[in-house]
Amino acid sequence: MSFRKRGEVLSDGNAARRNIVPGGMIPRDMPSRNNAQRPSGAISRGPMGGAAPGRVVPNIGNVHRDLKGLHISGRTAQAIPQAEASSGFSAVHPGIRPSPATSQQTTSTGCTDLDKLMGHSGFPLGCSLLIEEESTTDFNSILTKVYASQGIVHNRIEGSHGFKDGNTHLIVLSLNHHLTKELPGVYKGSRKDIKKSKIAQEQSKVTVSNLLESQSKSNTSAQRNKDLKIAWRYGMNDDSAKSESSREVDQSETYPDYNHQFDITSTLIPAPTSNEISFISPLLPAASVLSQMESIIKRHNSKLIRILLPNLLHPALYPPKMTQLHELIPLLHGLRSLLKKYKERCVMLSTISTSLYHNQPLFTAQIEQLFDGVIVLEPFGQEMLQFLERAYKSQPNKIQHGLVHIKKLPVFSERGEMHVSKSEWAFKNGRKRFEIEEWGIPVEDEDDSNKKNKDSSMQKARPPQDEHQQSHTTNLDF
Amino acid sequence: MSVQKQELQIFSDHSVLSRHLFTDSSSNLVLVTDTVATNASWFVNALVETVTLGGPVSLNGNNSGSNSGLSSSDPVKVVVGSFLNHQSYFTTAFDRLKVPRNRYNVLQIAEDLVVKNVGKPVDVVIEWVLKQFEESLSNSPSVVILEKPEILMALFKLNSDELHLKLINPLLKLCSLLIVVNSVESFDNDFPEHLGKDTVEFVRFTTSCFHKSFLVLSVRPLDTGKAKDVTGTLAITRGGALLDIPALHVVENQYLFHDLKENTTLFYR
Amino acid sequence: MASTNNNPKVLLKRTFSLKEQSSLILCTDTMAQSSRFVVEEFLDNIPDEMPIVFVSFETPNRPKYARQFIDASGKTTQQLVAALQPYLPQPQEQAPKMHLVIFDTFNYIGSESLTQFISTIASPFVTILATYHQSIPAWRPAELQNYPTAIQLLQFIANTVIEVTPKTSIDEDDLDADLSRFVIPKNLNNPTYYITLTNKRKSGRAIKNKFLINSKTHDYEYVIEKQEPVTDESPEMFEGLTTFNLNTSEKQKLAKDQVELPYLEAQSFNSGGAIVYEFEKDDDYDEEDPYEDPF
Repeated sequence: MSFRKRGEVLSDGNAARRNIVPGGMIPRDMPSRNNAQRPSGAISRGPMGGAAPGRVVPNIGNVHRDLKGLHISGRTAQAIPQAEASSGFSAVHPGIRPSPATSQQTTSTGCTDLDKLMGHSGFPLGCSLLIEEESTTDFNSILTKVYASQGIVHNRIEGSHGFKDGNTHLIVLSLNHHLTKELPGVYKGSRKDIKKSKIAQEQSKVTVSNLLESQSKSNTSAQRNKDLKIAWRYGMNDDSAKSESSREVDQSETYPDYNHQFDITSTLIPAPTSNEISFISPLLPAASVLSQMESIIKRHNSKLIRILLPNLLHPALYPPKMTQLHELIPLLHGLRSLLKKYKERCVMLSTISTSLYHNQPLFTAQIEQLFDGVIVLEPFGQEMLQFLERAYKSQPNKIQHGLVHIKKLPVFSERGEMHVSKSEWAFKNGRKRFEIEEWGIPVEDEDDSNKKNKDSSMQKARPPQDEHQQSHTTNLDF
Repeated sequence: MSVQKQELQIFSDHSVLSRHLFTDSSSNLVLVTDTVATNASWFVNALVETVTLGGPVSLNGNNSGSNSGLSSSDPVKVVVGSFLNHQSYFTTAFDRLKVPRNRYNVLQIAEDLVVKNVGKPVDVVIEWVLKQFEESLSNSPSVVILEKPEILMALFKLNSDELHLKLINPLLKLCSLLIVVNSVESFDNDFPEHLGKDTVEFVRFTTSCFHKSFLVLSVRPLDTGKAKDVTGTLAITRGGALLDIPALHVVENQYLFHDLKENTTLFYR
Repeated sequence: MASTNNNPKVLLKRTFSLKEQSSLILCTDTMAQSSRFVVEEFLDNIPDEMPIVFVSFETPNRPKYARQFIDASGKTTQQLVAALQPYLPQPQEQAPKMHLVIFDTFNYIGSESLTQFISTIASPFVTILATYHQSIPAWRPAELQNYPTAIQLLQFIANTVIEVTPKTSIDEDDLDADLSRFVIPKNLNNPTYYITLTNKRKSGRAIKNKFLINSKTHDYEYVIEKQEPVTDESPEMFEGLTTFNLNTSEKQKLAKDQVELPYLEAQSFNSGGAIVYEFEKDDDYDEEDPYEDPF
């Protein structure tokens, strides 16, 4: 989500939500309805359909549960058989929305631009994505981290602590448990925005007393109410932990909690708990990995499961024997089977550094075959980066870091459509977010008129440069 | 570019799948190849339609007139077994195409293939796969579609010759027409032997299929890459085997095709 | 048999009718042109009563001409030999008939077992007609890296080798590149194709001839490989280049050849770089000048 959303939120006075609320401060000001006692237990289902307008605080953790007890008989009972549960589940999960292309339920990858690139505004449920990186760099870890954080953030949107119950569970196939401490926190906006939101928070505090009156009014005031209630949830650093709106019934495309922007320099606090994240070693025999996975999926049977298989075949993490097809493919094939078996509520992201496996195209082809989507990151080499730095010397934040190629996309490629794209897109790893945009070789900056003199001499220098760049870039362009 | 739609025709009797293929007890092999960029699922669907509905009705968006002469009086059964995709993948597609359910059977092979079989000797696995087919096939003429059997070589310690002799040949004998769908992605090396055993075995498998097939259908992207209104090419060529049916032969051809939102159109350049 | 040496077509016919004594006739083919048609030529020419045993590795349907059909799938080489033996002429037979054993492919028999397999089946009354697909790559385990490949072995053992090649206008390199990507051009595996027949005589000499075969009409056409002359000019080369007549007529060519090139002696390097200089009558040599070049 971008600035625009924040803008909207600000005007709604929902700013309160976005700030880090120091523990326990505001809660005590709130009327009794918002009891801070119960952190967990119920399935965090959002409001059932948009049924009750003017319904006050339908889905804020504890209060949510009270109300659930009130008017949601039987719909959220844990005993619902999976099929029903899942259809209800995807309708109310904050991180799920229908794909604009195929109407399948999709969830965000954590990176908006990547969502868009997939064509579905996200990951269709039941699909897997492989991100290949063609160099010794490690941009893919940004994407794995935002993918993981997105899951945790989704999970924390409703329930007050979201620790024991929740709507999303992350399964990571890695031995690196430190991942939990490396997840980026949500982007809180520029300093200006943070100030603004603090002010708004103050303002909303003032209106607490008006809450009861404004309940029966429009959604926006209900929103404000919800926001306030969320605001006092301590320990939540989720800036964008907005309540799920009852707008899902509307045709509008605003799914406010669908995806979030992450600040890779920050950390997600509190770190994910064992209720939110599980680790399985991918080095165990495939049968063991798969059965552990299936039991976790079944245990969290009401949640969206995000599976992450980072750094596949990384030499520091995987022993050489795992590069044998009959050691590796059973694991990937089994994971694919699980995904399809639980396709209403699972997605999977995997990353691999293909620079190590260039010599064996058929080997990588066997791996790619088992994923529904394959995207390739090709970071620029030194020369290209220098060229871009010169071209964008006045706008350093326009410098891209590499190209993005698409080999196949979930659902579309399966149907037979050709979605291969080479050198059409470029990525930029910014502090605020990982951007993917259309790629075009920039013309070197024509600076303003005071530099005209310099320009003439530079122009002489340029043609040979351009030639050089031409020959360089033809390597990148296919 | 003129978008005059073309009917799909493979055989000299103007059919997509000729009924002469099913009149005696002979068995024949057809190879379909695809790539990562161009999945052949739309084509496989068209073949299934041809057998069950009389013609590839979904191609070109309407009732494709080409009539294979496969009438409903002597129905040919279709059995699909995939090592990559689950049963629901096919049943959803076939339901959408309104293929009557009693005319086909999709086996559950990919589901839990690993979980159920990892650690078992590969011969046991192959026997199990064959048994699934045997149980759905009877003496009546049938078409078997085998999707991505090369995955077995990646999952188990199985080489191409074993896969051919132990699975493909016995399966061929069980049906009238065996259609093997194989990926030729990354087949781009003059000397696969230099790349290693795995590469050799995958190329060996597909090349051996070629020599056994009388018909090879290749679904690939355009050599020039992406185009707005063309997804790729469908090439119809003879294989290394002879079709021993008098007065019937393969008509070699190359179509362009365009896939858009589950509709495929065929045309010429 | 000197007469047949001069008539390749007769040799071909004799080969096809199995009149040329041969224990192993090897057909090699590629994806571009299969050898199936060649086998049919044999069938067309052999005597009707010759018993044919067909061993199948890749053919599901029993051919009508095969008296015996043996399915080799799932058999080890020993089992295969055991299955074959009953149908071959037995050693105790008084007047054994010539048998033709056709293998649709030898590719499935590993190179390490090939020689022994063949020698077990071979006998004076058995002709083996086998195909080897050259397009199919084979993995050679480390311990066999110095051992000949299957194709090398077969070409060595076989008395007759028929190499099948396509009749196509596509350039050979382009065709190879396409086939290795599995792009199959049109008009391959045609009923009309080339073969290169190599007959190994008992004298040790091998005769190689190329033919164009039309399997529909069973016409054989002897093909002479054109030796591309490098230096010869051909009138076509100059067509359309300019309006001048750049051709050389026969007389002119003869005259050209007869021109004595000067300094030819100098071009022979026998004397190792010595300068050959012949005094002509106009040269003057000043004997008294100390700096005059000595020769």
